[in-house]
Amino acid sequence: MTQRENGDSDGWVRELPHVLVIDLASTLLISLGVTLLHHGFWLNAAVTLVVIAALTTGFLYSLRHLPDTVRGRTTRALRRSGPGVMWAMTGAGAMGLILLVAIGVHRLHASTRPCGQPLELRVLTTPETLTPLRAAAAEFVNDGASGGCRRYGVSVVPETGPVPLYDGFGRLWRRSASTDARQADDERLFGPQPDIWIPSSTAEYAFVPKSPEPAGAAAEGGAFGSRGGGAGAPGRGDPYFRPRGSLGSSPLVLALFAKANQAVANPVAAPVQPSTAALLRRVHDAGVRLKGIARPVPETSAAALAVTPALYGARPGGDESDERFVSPASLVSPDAASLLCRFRKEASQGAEPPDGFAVAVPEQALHDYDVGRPLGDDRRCGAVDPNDRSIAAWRLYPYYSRDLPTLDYPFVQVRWRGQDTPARNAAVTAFRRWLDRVPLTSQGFRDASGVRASADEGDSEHVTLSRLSGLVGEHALPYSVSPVPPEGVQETLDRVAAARPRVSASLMLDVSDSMGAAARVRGGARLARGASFLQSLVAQLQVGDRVGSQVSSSAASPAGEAFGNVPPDAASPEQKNLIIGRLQAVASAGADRPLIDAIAAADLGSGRQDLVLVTDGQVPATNPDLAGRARWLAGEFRGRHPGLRLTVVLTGPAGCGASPVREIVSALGPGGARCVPLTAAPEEEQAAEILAGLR
Amino acid sequence: MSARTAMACSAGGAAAVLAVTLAVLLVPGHRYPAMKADCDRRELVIAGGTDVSLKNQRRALVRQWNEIPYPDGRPHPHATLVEVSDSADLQHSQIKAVAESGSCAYDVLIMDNTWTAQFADGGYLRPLKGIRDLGDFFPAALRTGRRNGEQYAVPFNVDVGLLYYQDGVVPPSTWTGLLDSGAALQLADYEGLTVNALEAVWNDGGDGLLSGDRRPSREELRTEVYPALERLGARARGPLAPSRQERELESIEAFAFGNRLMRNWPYAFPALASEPRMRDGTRLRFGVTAPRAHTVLGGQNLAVARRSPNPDAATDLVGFLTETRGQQLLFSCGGFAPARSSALGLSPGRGAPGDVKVQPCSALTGQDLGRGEADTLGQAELTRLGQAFVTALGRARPRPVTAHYGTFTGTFRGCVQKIFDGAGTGAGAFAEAVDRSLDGRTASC
Repeated sequence: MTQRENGDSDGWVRELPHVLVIDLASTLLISLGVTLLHHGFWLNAAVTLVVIAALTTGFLYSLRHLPDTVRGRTTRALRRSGPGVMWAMTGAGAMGLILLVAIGVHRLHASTRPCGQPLELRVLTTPETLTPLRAAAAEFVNDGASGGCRRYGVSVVPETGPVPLYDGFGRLWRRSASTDARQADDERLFGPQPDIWIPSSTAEYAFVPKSPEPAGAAAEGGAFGSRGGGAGAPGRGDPYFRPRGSLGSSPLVLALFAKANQAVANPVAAPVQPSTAALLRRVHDAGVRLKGIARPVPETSAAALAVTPALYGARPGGDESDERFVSPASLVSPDAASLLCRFRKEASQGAEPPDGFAVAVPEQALHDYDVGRPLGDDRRCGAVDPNDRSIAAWRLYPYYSRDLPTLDYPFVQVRWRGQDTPARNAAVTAFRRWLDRVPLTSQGFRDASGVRASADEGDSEHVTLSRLSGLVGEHALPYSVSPVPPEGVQETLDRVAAARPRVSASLMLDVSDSMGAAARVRGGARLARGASFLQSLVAQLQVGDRVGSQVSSSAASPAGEAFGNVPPDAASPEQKNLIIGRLQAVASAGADRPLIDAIAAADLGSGRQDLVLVTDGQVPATNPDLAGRARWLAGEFRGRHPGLRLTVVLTGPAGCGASPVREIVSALGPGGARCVPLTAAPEEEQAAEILAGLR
Repeated sequence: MSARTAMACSAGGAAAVLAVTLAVLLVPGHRYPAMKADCDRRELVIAGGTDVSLKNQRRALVRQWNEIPYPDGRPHPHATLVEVSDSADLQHSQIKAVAESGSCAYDVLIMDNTWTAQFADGGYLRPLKGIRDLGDFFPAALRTGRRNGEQYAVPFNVDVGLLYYQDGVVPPSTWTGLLDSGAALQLADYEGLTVNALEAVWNDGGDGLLSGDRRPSREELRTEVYPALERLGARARGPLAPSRQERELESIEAFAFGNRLMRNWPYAFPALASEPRMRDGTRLRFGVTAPRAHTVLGGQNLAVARRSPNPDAATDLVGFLTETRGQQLLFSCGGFAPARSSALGLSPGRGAPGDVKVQPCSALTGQDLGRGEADTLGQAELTRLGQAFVTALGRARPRPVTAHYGTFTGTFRGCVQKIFDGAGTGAGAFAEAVDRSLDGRTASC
């Protein structure tokens, strides 16, 4: 080493203390910046110091290897400016230190005070994804807490299906919009207005009416994704949607109970069949005779709607017979969570699984069912031990085919005029980003390309599909399922409507004074429960159906101008809205009108006709000469309306065995009348069951 | 380098950092194109839960407001009751989200009385001025609408715990006697669990703790509240085990189908009276009384939203909904216990339970009942219910008053469930978790 080289070497060593002062000050400043924006000062400081010290030391050391001229110039420049920079950085570092101390004191003080209010986020999703979304939301809330103070509160609520959603988004989230000159005294919402909507598929999202984007958003260069159609958009132009990508995927599967699975399972068979038709052939060839496939009601379950075309195409014959095959009367449910919940309840009662039925549900819902997680919003379907003997006996085994669609769960931000604030937008963004970091593959979903996630060892907090494969067998669960997008919602709804017998329903609601008394189930007044049930039924009707409504009491004649009377017409959105709105507004008044008189006054057409009569029953004194009137009902009335079927829906307290309902049902005969008591089950579910019976 | 130059460099560096910091803190970031609402409207909007009053009396009251003009002949601005949901949690979620957004969507809010502190502290409510005859409200109920010396809300209906007993059953004279009898309580995992657990604490060594503004120390939580809950837990694993699956409606069902005793709110009375098996002609087969114990003071309040475009009319509407006449209708026809003493025929100096005077629904409305029909509750039954209510109200206590009631009740319920399960929750962990939750901090036992 030459003397000159030694001198230069000494030079950089002499500069080292200056540089280290600058490093220290830089560290303080960077840490201040990071602390202002993020938090965690000391870790940031340590990492920053190490990185900067390494970089500058490396830089100075590298000077030795530069050409002499460059090295000399650099050294001279450093010597000239070094002290000034060092003092400036010292001052800056000192100020940084003061500010950091001030921030620390402020935070220490804040940690002893009560928390501020967390911002409330409202999330809407399908019933079957409630459990994973609630688990994810709870984790997000806890992860975002600072010093134990939550920044967000998240409520996750179930949607009621594509058809009611279409109406809800078109009516500012109201169940009905006033179509009368008279303003409504009362409106019902579908629940909280969602800030985030996670439909089951992009097809479901595409189905709902959308408004053109707001002017402010347009200036943002089209940041708001949806401007779809505008057709059917409400006049007030609310809400606005912004899709923000898929949260994962889940294929629809056909599932079999253990007995059928034993016959069909084949470890060497391909886990994904080429088609649903091939899958059903395989089931048949294994000696399993399917009586039907339990598919939830399409109007209230987007997943059921999505799977319907594949099921229609899997069997020979027309859509009509296929529809009957996928709507077994004993297994009607409004959504997959309700269907699986029903199985779990029967399992806990020690019943045997139904023989000869397959089940069409999303894989993710099947996962939650099999691993014992809570199902939907029914508190009677909480977590269970999947290895409990009675529960395990009802385990479902999934089967896949290439034409069964995949649900892609888009994350859609929903903006409501007046509730749209920067803070709310930031909260929605924070949740979306968090779901990128902790994807729903940790909650039983697949990733967007249909690939299963593997379980992290030691992670007991999350449940991946690996847990399901541990229960149903590794070979039963394909590693990857190529996503197949579902067909359009409206197209499928039209196809379902064409495949079904049309319903011509005349609804009659008893509005006598006694209907103002307490309902036996679910609380509130009988009238409110009865009206709510009928509203759910109307919401599930299709355009091909016909519907009208009447009210009955001594003060409200079914044949008169009573407010609740709406003449029968095609079940268009306008007709449904009108009836739902009128049912919402009816009040109890007047004494009972004898039930047979009310039936006689029903607005019935010719041909096949259904009369749905909701009442709390009547005292015998209201129905004098009941035997004679019942004979008239069985004779003259039946002769006038041979195609009439009567469904008496009781709110309680009277039961189906009480007079006069018993005599009326008996007079019209077993195929002509039935009596159904309202239960504590969700009204959508009961309406779906009764509607299925009508079809 | 001279000392002056060095000083100048230092000062410059410090000033630059200070300027940048202030800029980061004070300069607003990206401007978000929020969609503003049109607040230019005259109609009134009332937000609340589903109307579960009998005969839909709440809706009927709103209808009356719309039909009846002001005394000077001006029409009332039209009001619409917006029913959000059956669930109190979802009502809270919607109303809070709307309020914290600064929205003008709602004028009048129907709130559980535990929300007052949160909504007042959050600036979502407008102080209520101009409600007539505040002294006529039951004082304890009126206090639930007060925060930091300001009246933000007035009670719409009041709840207290009542004791229901079957014919021939003598109600126990002590709370522990009630618990040991296997009465139907509400111990499922919802707000009713908090209510029932607090009542157990207050009547079993923890009198006054976790009630109102007074905040218990961790020592009190550890040595008085926790042991009371452990004793309740032992009973929840014994005679009260069926109640762990029960909410209010399941309790009513259990009582109607044979349970000898039940703790429940006043609205259970008309619900039971509507049940044929609970009647023998016009005579009821059950009785109601005030427990000789402290019960929770529940109920719902009315408040005017801070951003209401029509605050004066909204205040008028609150006044109308809480007038004596409306309160009488809510009680006799709707099954809700009233907030005004005059609705029960009480007045200053005549406020004892024995002074209760009420009329049945048909007498209030002048409605003719049909042949064979009668009011669900006649004058005698309503009087008995009113007397039990007034007696229980004198002993009722509010739940903890905190702006973080939601965090408190969630944490408390989680801890109580673990105590019931015998999951090994320690007194110290319980005290720390509950104490933190009162400040809104997340915690679990």
